[in-house]
Amino acid sequence: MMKRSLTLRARIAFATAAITAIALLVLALGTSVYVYFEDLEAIDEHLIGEATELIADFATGEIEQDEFTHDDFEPRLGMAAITAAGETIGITPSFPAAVATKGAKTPGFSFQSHGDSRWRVYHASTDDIIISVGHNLEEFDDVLLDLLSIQILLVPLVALVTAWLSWLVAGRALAPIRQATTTAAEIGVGDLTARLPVGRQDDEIGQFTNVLNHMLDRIEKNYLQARRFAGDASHELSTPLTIIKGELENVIANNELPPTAEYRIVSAQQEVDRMHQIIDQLLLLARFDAGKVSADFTTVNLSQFLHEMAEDVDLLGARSELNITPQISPDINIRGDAGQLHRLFLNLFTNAAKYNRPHGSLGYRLAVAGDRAKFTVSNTGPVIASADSEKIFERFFQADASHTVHGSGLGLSLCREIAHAHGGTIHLESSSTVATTFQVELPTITVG
Amino acid sequence: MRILVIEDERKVAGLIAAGLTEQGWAVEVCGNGDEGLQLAITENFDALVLDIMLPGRDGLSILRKLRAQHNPVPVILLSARSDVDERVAGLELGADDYLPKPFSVIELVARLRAIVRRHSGESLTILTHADLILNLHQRSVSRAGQSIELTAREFALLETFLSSPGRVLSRTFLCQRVWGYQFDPETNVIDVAVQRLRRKIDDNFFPKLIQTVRGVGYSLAS
Repeated sequence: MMKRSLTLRARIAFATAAITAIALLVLALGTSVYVYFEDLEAIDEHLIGEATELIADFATGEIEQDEFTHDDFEPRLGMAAITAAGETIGITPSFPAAVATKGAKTPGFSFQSHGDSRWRVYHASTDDIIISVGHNLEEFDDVLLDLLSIQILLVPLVALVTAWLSWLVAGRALAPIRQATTTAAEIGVGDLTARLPVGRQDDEIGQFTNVLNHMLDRIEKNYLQARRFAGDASHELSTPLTIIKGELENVIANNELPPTAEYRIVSAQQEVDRMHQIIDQLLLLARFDAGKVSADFTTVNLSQFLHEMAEDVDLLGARSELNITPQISPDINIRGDAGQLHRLFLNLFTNAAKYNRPHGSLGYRLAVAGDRAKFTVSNTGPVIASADSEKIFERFFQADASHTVHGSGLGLSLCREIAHAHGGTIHLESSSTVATTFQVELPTITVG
Repeated sequence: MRILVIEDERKVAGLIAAGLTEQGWAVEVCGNGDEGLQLAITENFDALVLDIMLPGRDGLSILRKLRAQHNPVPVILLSARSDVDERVAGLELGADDYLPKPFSVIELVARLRAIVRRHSGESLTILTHADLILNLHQRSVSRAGQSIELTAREFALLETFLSSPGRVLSRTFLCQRVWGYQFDPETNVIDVAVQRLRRKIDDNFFPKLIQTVRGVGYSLAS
């Protein structure tokens, strides 16, 4: 099974968006980290400054009365002085005591949590007092978080815009490829003369279409050659075959041969006929390939048509004394070429009679299903492996590799070409030890 | 009867000439289109056997020229291409019959006979052989006064036998004449059909009319 995949255009848009998103995320995180450390450094310097100032004040004894009573000037700054014994000398109102005293014995910086808020605390000590200076990080954290959120929120938005823009750009860039695909598909349906439109010659797409067009030139040339070859070879062979046929006829007509030699001549004659038949089929197949089969389409009453073939079917089945059971619904009409249809059905009947067992059965049935005529022919023949069910319609394929039963191996492929030329299908419906059934479906018409 | 054969392939022309001479007909062979046209215009023939691919003027062009001059001589076209278009083109130009290669000379003789007969306005409706009567018009058959029911193929087969009494008819030839297409030789269709015909026209009668020529085919006892 094929994995379902996105179009190249979608993948380009997706990849561009993803790359943009990753770049933006890295940028956002980098900025945040940089801002965080820069700001923290500023805070730390400020805390050292305040602590040093406070220690100096204590040393000179110039402690002002309101030093610890209010924090109006710097609401985020907390200051405290503690004696070595742990007694609080003074503490600003917004500075939680727990924050101020925790870890007071180890000088230096630390982070402390208190309730919802986070503090950056600096401890410094002299012989008899410990100074604790803290900075409430609540706002600092808020600002950083806001910065980060805004940047992260912008990522999908920018990514979407990038995706849309690159979708447009990729669409324009890939337009020649889409056009090439359409043209190539047309060529696939049979028009080998079509070429891809060549836009700008100097870019990658231009070079690509050029190379493709050259390839198509070669394919068309080879295809025409191969087609002509099959046709020409068949024509060229028909004259020598006429001569061989005539000479053999003369030998027999003159009646001058011993019976054993006569038998050999007759055998040669049969092979000439078979060769004739193969050439005939090859020629028709070559013409189907070229789309040059001149079909003579008329209204054909298929029911009647098969009734008229009944005697031949009967003759075909006589050798193995087959039990033949026709079942034909009346007045089923199709549009078709009587000659080709005859070939199609005769081929199927011949196979059904040939690949059969003595006293076996050969059944055929014509019915209508919706707007399709459904023809099935079943026989008690060798089982066709399901792996071969498509291969039997290939040219020169024979399920029986030993060629014990003669046939050109072209019959069923011709049947398929004919069915297709009539807007119909042919396939192996089933094959078991009970019966092997082929089915042909052709579009019906209503005759007013 | 005098027949002009315009065919550039020497061996094919030789075979045709031999086959037609065997019928007691006078045969003129020409291998070039322009010369062939000259001959056809200046001399009198009962029928023309005309190959389509020729050096000089091609067969269809010869036919066109003849018909433009209101020359009504019966024409059978021979072609290496069994092309429906070519066949239709030939018949529309006024050819009386069309025979794709490879063909058998016996077939050509039978067809020539038919078109010359048609052309002369002579229409055979009753074929007889010994006490057997075949009426082409009523499509009825009787032997020794007893009416016999035949299928379509059996009737055509008997008609073929009656038009070439004494001649050995190969299975291939019978197949071509009666069915117009070939059967896989392994299916024995011709033998079965001949046996069935025999059962109806020979089993209860004497002498036996259809004889087996071992290995080759069948013939109508003369």
